Amino acid sequence: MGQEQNTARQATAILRITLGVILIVTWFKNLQDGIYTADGIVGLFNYLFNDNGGGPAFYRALINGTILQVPGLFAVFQLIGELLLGLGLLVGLFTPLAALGAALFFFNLFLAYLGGNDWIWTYVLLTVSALVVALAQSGRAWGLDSLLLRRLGEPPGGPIW
Amino acid sequence: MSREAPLWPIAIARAIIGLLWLFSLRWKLPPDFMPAEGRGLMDWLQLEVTHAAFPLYGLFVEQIVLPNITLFAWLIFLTELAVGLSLLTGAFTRLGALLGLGLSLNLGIGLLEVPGEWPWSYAMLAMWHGLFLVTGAGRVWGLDGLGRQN
Repeated sequence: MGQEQNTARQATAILRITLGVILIVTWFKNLQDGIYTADGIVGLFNYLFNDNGGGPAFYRALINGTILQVPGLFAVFQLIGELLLGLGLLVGLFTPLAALGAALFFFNLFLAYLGGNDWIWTYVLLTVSALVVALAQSGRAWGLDSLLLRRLGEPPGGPIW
Repeated sequence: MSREAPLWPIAIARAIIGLLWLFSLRWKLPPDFMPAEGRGLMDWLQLEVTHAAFPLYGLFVEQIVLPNITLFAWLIFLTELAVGLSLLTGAFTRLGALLGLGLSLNLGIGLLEVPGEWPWSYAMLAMWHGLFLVTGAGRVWGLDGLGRQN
């Protein structure tokens, strides 16, 4: 099994790098489109909920009661968070944390698009991919986590690399 | 956690992607290969012709596939069914993954320029099938594992 597990980690490393590229490419596009502003966030959810017709009732209520109360603050959080997740996955640094964060982000997108016009399996694929990357600790292949592992050994406080 | 990657998350992903293929059969069911509402196989093929990223591919769909739609629709339906069942149960997974890789690449090439389509979806789908292919993903929590033990 050892060889298979090594192959699996390398294969999931390719998946990790792809997720990182997707997040960073999307981040640049969102930046250009002005999504990371208060108006951008409001416009995005307006599109998701009204034009695209997605989002179950509980999710709409949750977003209306939280994010859309402070869209400017959330825009900054999203600007920084999405970039850090993308970079973390791309270089394989603190991969389990970055991948879990990405999985939550993608699951949020899944809920936002659920019932809408888009192909919902895109968000299932993204969420599952991020979870597998986290569980496989794929930064240990072709990532900075492998350097941390070599220098510091297994992380004492849980699987953060 | 060990220094080696666990294989069970890949097994779960395999089963989920198997379900993806089986769910996708809903809008291409025989005998007419059309859903009760929304776009069917024929509509998507027409879109591939109208928005062909590669002219040769568009020409192939227009000149070869569409005039023989019943044959190709059965071929697509049966292949997707086989891939879905293979990945869901972990039986003949490498063969299923290889067929799924072909289907994913075909979808990616055909739908690349179709408005509203996100090419990364098909890139990820293709990547997952490549992953199942190289890892022999049916050996954990799959029927291929039973065959191996025997």
